[in-house]
Amino acid sequence: MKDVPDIAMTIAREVEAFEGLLPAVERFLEANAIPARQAFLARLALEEMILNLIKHSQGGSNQIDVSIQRHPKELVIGIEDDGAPFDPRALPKKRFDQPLVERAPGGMGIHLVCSMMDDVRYGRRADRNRLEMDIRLPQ
Amino acid sequence: MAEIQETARADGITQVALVGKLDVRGLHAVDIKFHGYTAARRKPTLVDLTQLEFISSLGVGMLISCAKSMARHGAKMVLVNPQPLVAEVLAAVGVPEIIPVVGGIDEGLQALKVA
Repeated sequence: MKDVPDIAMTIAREVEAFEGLLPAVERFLEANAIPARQAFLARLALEEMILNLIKHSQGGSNQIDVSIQRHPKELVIGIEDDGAPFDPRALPKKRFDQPLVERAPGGMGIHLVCSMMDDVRYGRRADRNRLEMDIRLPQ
Repeated sequence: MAEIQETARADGITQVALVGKLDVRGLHAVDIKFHGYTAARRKPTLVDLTQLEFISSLGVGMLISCAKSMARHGAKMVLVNPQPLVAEVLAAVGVPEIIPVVGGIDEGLQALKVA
């Protein structure tokens, strides 16, 4: 049985709209007693992938659909938009072995999501991108 | 939200603590100040992460950008005592290979002296 309803919201493709989503996310995580590690990963997934869309997505409307579902064994975070096709898993692997003076500070967000989430799935249906990220819950 | 707290020192080393959540909102709150304490001063710097609860790639980018600017002027940054999940993020993007990460202030001072 769920303690609180899942999150399903549509926000504008703007930083201010993402920031406006965060209180609802915090309430959801707290009300569901999501453990610290899984809550941290949920915040990370949402920030990295939504800000990436805000910064780089091209075409489509100005809207992003965001969902967080609590299943018995995992959290599933969904992000959907109607911009140009974009599969973050298909990006070339980022190199992190350059010395400090050669390191560019950007390009780390998608790598963090793909390496720290338990599963990342992407699909394109009806001209929409659908990204799902799983975060396993302790049993 | 995030904030910066500076600990006054008499040895020419800057010691600052990042506190709270270094997400997009936290970055807005501390970015300019952090650059002021680090990249602008160009002095050896300890960044205490003990009370930093969250960091995203934006926060990591701020640390790298300032450490890089300092390095160009011969000054070193050391990160001190990150919480386990913050340490995991830093490790995932190779930060410990370019900015030393240590367990405590004394160890951080030692790392600055070795530089």
